[in-house]
This record gives sequence, structure tokens and C-alpha cells, in this order.
Amino acid sequence: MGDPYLSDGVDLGDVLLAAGKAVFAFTVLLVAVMLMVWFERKVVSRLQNRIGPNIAGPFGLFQTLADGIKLFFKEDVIPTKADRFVFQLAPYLSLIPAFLTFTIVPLAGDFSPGGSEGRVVIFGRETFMQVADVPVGILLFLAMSSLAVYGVMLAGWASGSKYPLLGSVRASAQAISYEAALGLSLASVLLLSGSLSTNAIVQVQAGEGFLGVVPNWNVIVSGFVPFIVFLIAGTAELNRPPFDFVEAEQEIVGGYHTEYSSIRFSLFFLAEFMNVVTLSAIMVTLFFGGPAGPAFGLLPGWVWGFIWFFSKLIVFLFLFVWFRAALPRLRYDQLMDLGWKVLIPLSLVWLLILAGIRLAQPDENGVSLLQVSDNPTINTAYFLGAALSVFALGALLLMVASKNARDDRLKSMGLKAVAIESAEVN
Amino acid sequence: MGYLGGFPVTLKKWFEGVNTKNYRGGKGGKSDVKAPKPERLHGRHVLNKYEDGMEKCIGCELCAGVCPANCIYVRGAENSPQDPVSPGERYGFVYEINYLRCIHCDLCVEACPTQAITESKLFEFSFTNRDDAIYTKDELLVDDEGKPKQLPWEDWRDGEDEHTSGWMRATAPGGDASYEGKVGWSGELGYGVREPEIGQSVDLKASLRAKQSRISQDQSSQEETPHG
Amino acid sequence: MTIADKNANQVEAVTGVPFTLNGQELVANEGELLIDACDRNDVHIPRFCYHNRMKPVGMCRMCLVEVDTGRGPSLQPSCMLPVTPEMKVETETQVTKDAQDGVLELLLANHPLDCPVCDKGGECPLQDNAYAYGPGESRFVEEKRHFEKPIPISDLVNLDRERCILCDRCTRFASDVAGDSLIHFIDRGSQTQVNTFPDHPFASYFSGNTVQICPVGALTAEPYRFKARPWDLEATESTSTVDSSGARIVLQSSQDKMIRILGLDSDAVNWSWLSDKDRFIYEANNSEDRITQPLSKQGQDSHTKVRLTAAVAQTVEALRNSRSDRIGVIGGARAPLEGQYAWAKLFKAIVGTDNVAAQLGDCLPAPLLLSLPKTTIDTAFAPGSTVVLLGSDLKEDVPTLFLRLRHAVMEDGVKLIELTSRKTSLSELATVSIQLPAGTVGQFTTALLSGTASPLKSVSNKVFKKAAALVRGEAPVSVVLNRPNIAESPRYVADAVGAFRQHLPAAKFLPAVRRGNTIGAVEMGLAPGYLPGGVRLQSNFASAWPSIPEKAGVDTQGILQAAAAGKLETLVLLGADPLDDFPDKALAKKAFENVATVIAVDCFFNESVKQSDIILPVAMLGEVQGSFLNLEGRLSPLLAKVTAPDNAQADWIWAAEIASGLGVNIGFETLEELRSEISATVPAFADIDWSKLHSADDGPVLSSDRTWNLEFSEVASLPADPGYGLRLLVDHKLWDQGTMVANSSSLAGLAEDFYVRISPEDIRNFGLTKSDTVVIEVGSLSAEVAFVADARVPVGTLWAPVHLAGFDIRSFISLDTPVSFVRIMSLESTDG
Repeated sequence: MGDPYLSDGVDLGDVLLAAGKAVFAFTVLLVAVMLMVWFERKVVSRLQNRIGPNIAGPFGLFQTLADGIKLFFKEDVIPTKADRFVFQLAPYLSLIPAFLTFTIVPLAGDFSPGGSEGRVVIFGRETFMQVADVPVGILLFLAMSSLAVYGVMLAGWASGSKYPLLGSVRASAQAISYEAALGLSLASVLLLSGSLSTNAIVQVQAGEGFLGVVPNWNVIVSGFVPFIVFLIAGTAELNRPPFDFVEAEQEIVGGYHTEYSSIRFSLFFLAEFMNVVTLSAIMVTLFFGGPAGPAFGLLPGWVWGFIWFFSKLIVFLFLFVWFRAALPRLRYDQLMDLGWKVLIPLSLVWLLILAGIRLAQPDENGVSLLQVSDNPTINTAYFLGAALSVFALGALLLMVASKNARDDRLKSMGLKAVAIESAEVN
Repeated sequence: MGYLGGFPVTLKKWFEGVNTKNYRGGKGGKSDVKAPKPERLHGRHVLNKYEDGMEKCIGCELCAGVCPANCIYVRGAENSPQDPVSPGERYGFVYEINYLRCIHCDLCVEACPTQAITESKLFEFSFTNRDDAIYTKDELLVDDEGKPKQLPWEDWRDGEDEHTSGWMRATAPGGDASYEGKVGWSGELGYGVREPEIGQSVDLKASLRAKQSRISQDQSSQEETPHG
Repeated sequence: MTIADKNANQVEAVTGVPFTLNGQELVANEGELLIDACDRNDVHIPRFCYHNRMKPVGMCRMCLVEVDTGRGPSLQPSCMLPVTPEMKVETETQVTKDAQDGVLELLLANHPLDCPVCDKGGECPLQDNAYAYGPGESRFVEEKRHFEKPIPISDLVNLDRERCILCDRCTRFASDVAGDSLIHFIDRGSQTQVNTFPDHPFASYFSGNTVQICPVGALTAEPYRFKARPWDLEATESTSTVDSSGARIVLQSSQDKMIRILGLDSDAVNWSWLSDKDRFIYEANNSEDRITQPLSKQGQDSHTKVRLTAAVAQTVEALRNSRSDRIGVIGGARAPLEGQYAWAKLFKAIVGTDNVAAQLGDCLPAPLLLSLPKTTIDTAFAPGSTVVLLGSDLKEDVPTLFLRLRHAVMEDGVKLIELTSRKTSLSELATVSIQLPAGTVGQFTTALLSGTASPLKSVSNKVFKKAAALVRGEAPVSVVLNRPNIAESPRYVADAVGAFRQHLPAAKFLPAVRRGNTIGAVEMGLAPGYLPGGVRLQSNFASAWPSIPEKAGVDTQGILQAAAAGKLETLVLLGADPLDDFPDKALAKKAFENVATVIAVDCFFNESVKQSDIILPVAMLGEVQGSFLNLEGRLSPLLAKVTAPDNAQADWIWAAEIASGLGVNIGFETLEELRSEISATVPAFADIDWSKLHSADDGPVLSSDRTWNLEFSEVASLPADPGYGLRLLVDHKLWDQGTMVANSSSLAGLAEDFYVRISPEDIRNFGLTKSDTVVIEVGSLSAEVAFVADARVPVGTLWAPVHLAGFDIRSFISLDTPVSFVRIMSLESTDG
């Protein structure tokens, strides 16, 4: 559909509006990042029985600013063995995708039933409260998350030092492993929404829910599992705990940003938190309806949209921080196992199930795509059964293959095959 | 609970409140508090005086000799007969402790034959240069009332000069348990003869009873002249 | 060593005494004390009063062990028991332990609880033995005895009577070893205490040794009082540079400052004894008046600090602008051997002057010293030998040698013949003590060695014959040689030595020179006409030296005469003070007035340094590594323990810097290279292992393969007596206004003021019985000085010590007269 104000040609006002929206969003994102850092430090402290920063500014609000200023004044060191151009480029490669993803997130707007479908009027132009409403918004998100891997990869390689190299190789391996799971769980959502545009996704979720009370959020509609998978995969994409092996100081010093100092380091730091904010925003948009929510008067509708969006966002940010406080770090092989052996099969299966159910759903004419029987329930059950049997077959084959492989390996090492349950947890 | 066990634990911590004390180095006003210190904590040293004002230190260098960190520098000198600093022939002419080296083991307190050197409970004395870190005799010596001198960068609170080296009096001179409860030390300016502490004997109840009886004896004999 | 037969009747001629120690059969040396035999076999018996350099007394009873000599075991003091054959000794029985425990308990009964304030704490045998062998707790609850403490029994030693355990070590040392019976026990019972005689302080030259041997803190040294604790001290062995005996010492320092000197038991030299001057001279190192920065006075009235490079540059310029034969160098006897070699090389090979003299004319001439066949102290004082003391009072000049000689005479049956100008501290012990008037020693010695009757009226024939019989007897003869009289020309001593050469060539010599490393200085070529190794200037000298002076130079007297005549352009003083030490004071003064530039390498502002133009600060004892050659020709190490302050450097470094300023590489950059060069240049040093020199063992004695190559002209004749009546005798006292002593805070006050000593008979003869001052007159000079009667002075001699405050007797000495005659009269009989 696209943004309304662009539909009738582009004039100077439109360009200015677009530029203004970009600047505004950028500012909002930066401030959000600053506050996010503060938020994380404060919340983690409280979860650990301590206060957190409370000296720089009231309640330590200016702590991030103080850290930034301190980093600004540090000496900018470029190792002699580093590839200078790539070394200087890499932080930006991390930073820019984060911002670009943020542009497709609807921040406010009245999506309540009877509202303006998220449209607001700015300077006489009708527009959405997001920087851009690209018809392939989610695809842009996936593309940007893949580009962010480049930043990490190149940063490590260009540092000319072994710890960053190791860290970046691991980071990129981690990122691409979990991207598959991310994409597959996303596919479930897309199956339900039917559109790649974020605005459309939000609008779908703003609709009538189950029994009129339960909201029509994708998290519920898609059966929770895609959300869980997306959450876990997203956490891994962000290199957040418990998946922060990449930058774990105890393991490999600083990982890919070991050799960075001063502004470049702060850019990586910012990029990471920008990604957190962005991904939380995406999650809110995809699964929890974004700005959708009832408007209760007193304030303009779009403000209510913002309030709903913001409250949902806060919950997710809190969730990420809580992950950090509560969970121990996953070891690298555990991490890889989780990504490949658990999340991908799970999301794949769920996609199959959802697809099956969707195929069995009757459309407006009461006919589904594959009509096996007239009763929608039996239809659903039929296709569900088919999907599950496919999955069971696949799982069985996989188990047999893995057991055989294990036996072969043990035999080649000269050990007897022991039953898996009694084998030690690796 | 498996993987999710950490979540309720950490959330519970939020409601338990913070353990952080609002310590501001003494500059934070009324809410600036220190965490409570154990009664016999090893902190900054003080050089004591007898109750008549004479210094206890006789410059014997035993503390310097026993110090495992080589942080004490002592030189003795002859007491002038007209104006003796300490009772006897010899007094500590130079007495310096280098707090960059001190590990607060209190072996010097144990070695001192006159209990001249004892440790208070103050450890909040952060200096910013090496000259400040080497405390001279003037800075270590107690003042005319027997209280430790409070240097500008030190954060003294009430009670930190009480019970200096109380652990010594838990066992008595030389650290021998068989002398527990017997006063074997002289009085100090400003504090009188310090009480023996509850000590290292196995029979804790007995030493507690002994302490109680001593306290009640003191209370019943308040009109007597103070110790020392 | 063979073990004797078990059969008691058949004691074979074994070289050892068999005995049983704790069940083990061992062999002891003949006559060895049990305590020493046990020590040699690693069984330590605790003791307090026993000292291996003194005779045992068995007073402390700490060394009691169970000894069974055939009648059953009994407790015996092992320090008094020589090992007899078949003795059974048990040191670990309960009886022994009870005895040790009991002795310590009784000793500690009255011993005050002074350990924290006692200087001995930490190095105290009483503490150590109480810890190892004593009771853990005391049963003594009564009041201990009290004495007033501490009392200073001399300027250097304090006595604390409460701490004394009455071991008798100090009293035995003072009376038996030093001969100054100035402290002893008084009172009785539990009130027994060590004390001095009323009005007689413990003013012995060896009082410091009692502090070292006292097993408790009863005797403490005032200079060390409360200065440090044993665990503060870092130590190294070294050699004392105060006199030529080369006594071995331990230097102790704390915080990079010299704190104490102790005597090291050197079997060959000093037996752990030191004179007080050896012991306390380190205070000069820490004196505030010490010169530590280069100073220069060029053109101005007072000295200003200059940078080291500037000082060297000025020195180099002065040397360059002077003709090489117009440069004079005096001194070097205070420097280590390596410094002396470097100076010799610098001035003789590089600057090209032979006017280099280490001595100041108040001792024996270098040719004489270099030609003497030397011996070691042990050989000279071997039991049964004969020793001729031809010189001054050893106690004033070389005190440690005095102790050795005294022991030899008293204990080892050495026969001493004294040929001195007055009675000395050894006169009462000497077999024959002969006092010779000034100027007669040469003639008398010749007569003694070859004549039949005494050539002097003052020496009777009976005495002469006794001495002649001794010296011409069968026992080996050694001569302890010194300058008996500064007012007398050294020709007479040279004549005496010549007499020995002629009539008793087997005689060996110990040149007991007063000033430190003089022997080393002349050996290293700091003498005119000589090169290192005692090699004559004209002979072949195959070495690494770039050049050798063509013409022989002059000695100190010649240098000062040249300077006085205005013919000297640069005078270099290597730690020498001619204005205070050269016998002819007027000549020295005139020399300093007329010389153009004076460069001093010194550490204090003595009279000569005050008049110097450039002053280069030099490092002192304990600051620089080197070696020392003593009167035996023994090489001992000088080790460094403290850093020299500011810009004070070692002598050889100054020499190297001046050489490089002159554009010549002196040939060595490190001490090791310098030593290699000495080994390569001087044949006597060729086999020296310099690295072994650092141990505490006695150093090697350099072979003194000297031929008597001193040309002796005929014996100088006796000067005619102009009728004045008294001959002037000038010698040194140990405590004088010398630079080092005057700058050591504890020693400076020990020097007496000047007064002359006259024999009682002369006092009567000259009518001086009622006065205490006398007027001395020589020529047109006269002065009124204090005097005392002294029976040690022979009739016809006026004894005036030099370099004391109050009056300078050198005004009456002139080098033109070989013997100084003085007229004395009472004040009333002078005119006006």
C-alpha cells in the first residue's frame, strides 16, 4: 500500500517531510538507545540487589552520556596489522542496518477499531507514523539483519589480531545459524498476516480477537511457538545473554571489538543497543500488535497508539534485561546445538502445522484450498495429521541417522556404544 | 526448574531491596553511612600514649622487624633526661608506616612489647600520592586526648577508634589462650585500661559469663576511680 | 691421624687425641680445648665467657657438659678442659640440659627486661641461648637488683651494669689483650658489677672491642647507640684503611648509610680486634661537612659547585697547560690499590711527570720501603723469635699490630728488643728496652749488630750486651720498622736498615707505616723514580703503558721546594694534606702560596683542600670496591656496601676521566679490566685470582722478592750538639686533628690539646718544677707551651706530639737540620 502522502506524487514538502521523519526517528532511536543502556544497567542492578548508576545525573540518567564522553576522549588506536579502511568501516556496517530496520516500525497511530488505521496528518499530509512503509518491510528487516553480520565479520577480520578474528568468526556463525530460525518463525507470522508490510501486519492484529476480549495478536493466533522461537533466535542474533559468548570478556577478551577504542568502540556499543531496541520494536510489531490498542479518549488516538507501543516495548526491553540477569551463558556448542537442532526443526514443523491449518481454513466462500471433507474441523485435523506424520517421519529418520553416526564414530574410536541416556551430558 | 529457574529468583531480588550502602566518602550528608564493621577489624594504625601523656613507643623496632611487608621504618633515639618522650631510655624518634605496603596483618601489634602500636577500624583513608601514603609519627600518634588524628582524606565515624586491636585482648599478651580474661596491658590515654574481650576459648559460654560478670562489676563500682 | 690403641698403656705417637663425643669416636688436636673440639665436629656447646682469642676462665658455667675421664660422669666446663685421651663427653644428657637450663635461669634472674631497648637485642647470645637452651618461663617474681644505668665509662662506651652477666670477657680483654687494665669487677656477691677506677675513664684505644665481645648489652658503643637493629643491617667484609695493618672488618649499613664496623677474625692479621679508630672511623662517611660535589675556586675567593664535566675539564686544562716536569702529585696513600695504579698510570704514562710521591715526608722514604724483605706477622711473631721494634710507639701508630706483638711477647715467648726514642707501651714487656736520642739510631744499630760496646753514654754496656746477644742469637730476627721521630731525618733509620743488610741479611721486616695504604701506593709506583711493582724508572718495563717519564722526579720535599721557589705550575693532592702533615710547615705554606694551580682529590675541607683551586670529591671506605696491600704485602679486599653520595667517585674513575679529557684512553673501563692490567703489568700480581679475593679468608701475600738495592752511602754522622740541651722528639698520637678523626663526630673530641712531655730529671735540671708551662726556643722562634712530667721520656729529649690543637710543633722542625735541638726555659727566666 505504501504511505499515503507519497501516493500522489512527490513534491518538495513530501521530501522535507520524509527527511524530517528520518531525522526525528534517528533522534528518537538514539535517545532510546541511551535510555536503554541506562535502563539495562539499572534493572540488572536491581535484580542483583544493588543500585546501579546513581551519581551521573538524577538516578544516573546521564551515565551513558558520561560514558560516551569518556570514550570520546580516549585515544583512538588502530593496530598496525589492521586493514585500515575496513577497520574504520566496520562499526558503521553494524550501525546503519540497525537504523534502517527501525524505519519500518510503526511507532504510533490510531489502529483502534474505528480509528484512522494508523494515519495521522502532519503538515497537511496524511502519513503513517513510521519513517517508511515499504511494501516489503519485513524483507527489509531480514536483509538488514543479514547485513549486520558483515559489520561483525569485517570488524574481527580487519583487526589483525587473533581474539577478534575468533570472536567474529563465531559471531557470524552464530548469526547465520539463528537467521534460519528467525526467518522460519517469521514465515509463520507472514502466513497469518498475508503481507510483508508492517502497517498491514499491525492492521491485521488490530482486528477482532477471539471472543471479542482476547486481542487478535499474532502471538496468540500463531500459537506462541513462533513467538518463542523468534524471541530466542532474536536474542541470539543480537548477541545478547545468554548467547553473548561472542563478546564474553572471560572467554575471548572482547571478541570482535577487542581492538576498537574511543568512538569506534562506542559505535559498536551503540549499535548493539540499537539493535536491541529495534528488534524489540519488530517483535512488538509482528507479534503483539504494535501500536494497536483501544483508545480511551482524553488524548488523541495516535497518542494512545504510542502509549500502547511504548508499553509493549518496555516489556520486551525488560525481558531482554531479565535474560541477562537470570540466565547463564550458553557454551558455543550448546548454542549451535540449540540453533540447528532445536529451533530450526521446531519452527519448520510449526510452519508446516500452520500451513496445514491455513490450507484447511475455508475462505470467504467457505471453501478451503484443499477440501478433503466438508467439516472444517475434520479438514483441519486431516491436514494436521498429514503435517505431523511428515514431521514424525523426518524426526525418526533423523534420530536413526544420528544414532548410526554416533555408533560409527565410537566404533572408530574403539569404544563401545553406550545407551544415550546413560552417556554423560556433554 | 531447569532453564527458567533463574527468572523467579532474580525477580524476587528486585523486591528484596538493595544491599548497597549509600556511602559517599563522608561528604553525602546524613544518609552517608558505612557498612557495619566487625568489632575487631584491622584498619589504620595508631601510636598510643600512656595515661599520663608519655608515648608508649620505645623505638625498639620489633614491629619493623616482624612486618612481612617491610612497611614500617623505625629509628630510636635517646630520651633526654629533662624532657623524656617515653618512660625509659629510648623512644621512637622516626616512626613511619608505608600504607602502600601494609597488609594489615597486625603482626606489629602482636610484636609490640608496650602495646604502643594498635590498629583502629578505619580503612577508608584513600590518599592520592605517595607522600600522603607514608604516615609519619606525627600523623600516627594519638592527640592530647588520646584520640587518633583525623587527616583530611580520612573518613572517621564514631566507634572506629574503640576496641582498637580488640583481638589482642581476646587472648591477652602474646596471644596465649591461657591468659584469657586477665588484664596484662597498661592503660591508654583517653580510654583507660581496655577491657579483655571475649576470646578464643572453646567454652564460649564461660567467657560470655565472665564478660557479663565483669560488666556488672563495673556497673556496681561506678563510683571508683576509673582505670589507669 | 691414627686412633690410639685401646690399651691405655700403649699411647702411640699419634697426631691427635682420641675421645668420644656423644657416643661417636673422634680425634681432637693436641692441646685443644673440649669446646673447640666439639665445635669442629659440629656439636655446638653454648657459652658466654669463652672467647677463642682469649684464655678461658670458666666463669659463666654455660658450657658445662658431662665428661667422664675415668671416674664417672661429672659436669665440667668444656672451655677449660683440654681434651685428654679416652675422654667420654655427653652433651645431650638430661643432666647437661638441666645444667644449661639452670645456668640460664639464674642469669636471667637479675637480668633486666631490656630487650626492646637494648642495642644487643637481635644479636644477643643470651637471647639466643635462652631461646635454645633455657627455661620457657621465669620463676623469679622478686624485685631485681638495680643500678644506675647506663653510665658512660668512656666517650665511646656505655656500661649498663644491670645487664652484665659477669662473664669477665671485657675485663680479660682490657687487661690481658690490650694491656689497659681500666675496667674490673668491684663489690661482691649479687652486687658484683663491672666498673672503672674513680677518675679514670675507660680511655683505652681498644674499648670498642669490649662492646663487640660482650655477650649481652652491658657494654654498648655510643656511636651506635639506638641507631639500628640487627635485622636492618646489611653487611659485607672489607679491610680497614686506617693504618697499614689491614685489619679485616665487617661493614654494616642500613638505608644505604654506614652504621657500624665490627672486627672480623682474621687469623693472619688482627684476630677480630680493632682499634677504636678502625671501628668508628665510618662516621666520617656520614659527616655533614663532607665534600660530595666538585668545587672550583678559579679566580674567585670561595669555592662554588661546578658540574663534574666542568671540573674535569678545568683539571685537564691545568694539566695540559703545565710542563710535565712542573707538575707535582702528592698523596695516594688513602686510595685503594686500583686507584693508586690508575693515578700512577695517569701521571707517569699519560701526563708524563715523575714528580709523584705518596708519602708526606713523615714516614720512611719509598726506596727504603721498596727494598725491604718483608715477612708476615705470623712468621715474625712466631713463638721463640726475636723482634726488634725500631720505630715509634706501635700503640699510637698501628694499634692492631701492637696487640699482636703484645700477645706474642706475653704468651708466645717472643723476645722484644726496643730501639725507640722514648719508652713505649711495650717497654715494660720488652726483654730489652733501649731509648736512643734523636740521630743515634743508625750508629747504635750498627754497633748492636757488629760492635762490642755501647756507643752511647745513655745506654749501659750491660744492656747493650744483652741486646746484642739476643739479636745475634739463633732465633730468627724480624724488625718492626717505623719512623721513630718526625723531627729526625729518616737517613738515620735508613742507616739502621743498612746495618741489618750488612750484618744480618736474614732479618725480615714489617714496615709498620701509619698511613693506610702506603705500602700499596709505593708498590703501585706512586713514588718518584719507580714504576708499578717496585721497578726502577730506568729499567725495562714491558707493559701496556704508552710512555714512561724520561727523567726521575722528586719526592714530596722536592715538590714542595719547587713549588716554594715558584717552579711548580700544578700541584695535585690525592687525599694528602701537606699543610698539616708535612714536617716542615713553613716550606709547605710557602709552596702553596707560590704554586699556580692546586687540584685536590679529597673528601673534606682540611687546610690544604681549602687552598685548592679545584676539588674533586672522592669515595670513601665502603663506597667503592678495590683492594688493599698491608704491611705484610698481603692483598685484602675492600668491598662496597653503600653508594657514594652525589658526585663522589672512586679514584680510578677520576683518573680515567682525566685521561679521557686529555684525549688518551687510560686502557680500562671497568674494575675487572683494571685488575687484569695490574696482573699483566706487575709480576707479583700475575697469579692473583681477583674473584677469590672477596671471601672472608685471609688474602694472598705477594712475594716480596726484593733485593736490597738501596744504595746506602756511608752512615750519616751524628750532628753536633749546639749546646741547647734537648733533642726534639715528634711523633703522632692515635687521636689527633687528622682529617678523618676530626670529621667523625664521636672521635673528634678524643684528641687532646697540645702539651709537651719532659723527663722529671730534666725538669729539675732546668728549674721547671714549679711551673706548668715552658718556653721552647729554636733559633729565633720561641713559644710558651704547657708541659707535663713524663718518665717515659729519656733524659735529653723533649717529646711533643704533632697535629694536636693548641700549638703546631712543626714550626720548630726544619728539614735543613737532621735533628732538631731545642732550648727550654721556664717563663720567669725569659727576658721581658
